[in-house]
Amino acid sequence: MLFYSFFKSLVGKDVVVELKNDLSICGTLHSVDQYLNIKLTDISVTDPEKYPHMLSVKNCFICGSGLSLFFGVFQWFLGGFWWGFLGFFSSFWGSQ
Amino acid sequence: MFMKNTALSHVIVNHAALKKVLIGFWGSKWLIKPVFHINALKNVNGSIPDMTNCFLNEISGTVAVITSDGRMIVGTLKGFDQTINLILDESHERVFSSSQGVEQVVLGLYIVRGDNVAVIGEIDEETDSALDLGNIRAEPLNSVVH
Repeated sequence: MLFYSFFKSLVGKDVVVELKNDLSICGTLHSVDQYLNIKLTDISVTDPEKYPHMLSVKNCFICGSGLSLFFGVFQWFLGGFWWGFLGFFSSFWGSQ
Repeated sequence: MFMKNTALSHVIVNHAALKKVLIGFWGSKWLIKPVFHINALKNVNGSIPDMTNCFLNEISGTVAVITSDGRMIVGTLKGFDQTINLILDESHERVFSSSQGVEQVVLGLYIVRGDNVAVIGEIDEETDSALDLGNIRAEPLNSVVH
């Protein structure tokens, strides 16, 4: 829930996502859902020489289970350190 | 602590739904974690948003599906469901190799189980027909599962 809200705040921004198969895709975040599935528009692969598989794809839906890293925009957080701290620990207490 | 980027001001959607739950006592401090009530996740009409209606645009269009084992299947998206099971018509698999050009293996009408889907891309027909598949050399994609 915490990260879902965080991603909702990043909708419309340019992000780079790295999948578990090492494919890096950059694009504009169009939408996100509770499973952290994301939809990116206007995508481009970070390394098209190595991964020409997506050359003809402009918009894509990425399954949350396939994501490993998500690079967004650096933002200051309200209550900065503590929110980050609590977010880390809340992941150990199971989902709501 | 202050907030510099105001885009984050709507992260906490519903202040009333944000409760604080006591999770323990560390040293001399009570540890409190924020808990989102399920209502924070719901839309105005009570439904929980999910992404499957974003596929309605792509239905009966050509899509490229990357499966969790690194295969790329291109076909016409005929149907889908909540768990991202897909029905692909006139599908073919594009096998990439570093030694020879792209091989297209015709598959026909396929149902792909949602567990195995990693990426669904909307193919732009113009760009795709302009691609010279015979000359593309690439390593096949890795599998998503470690």
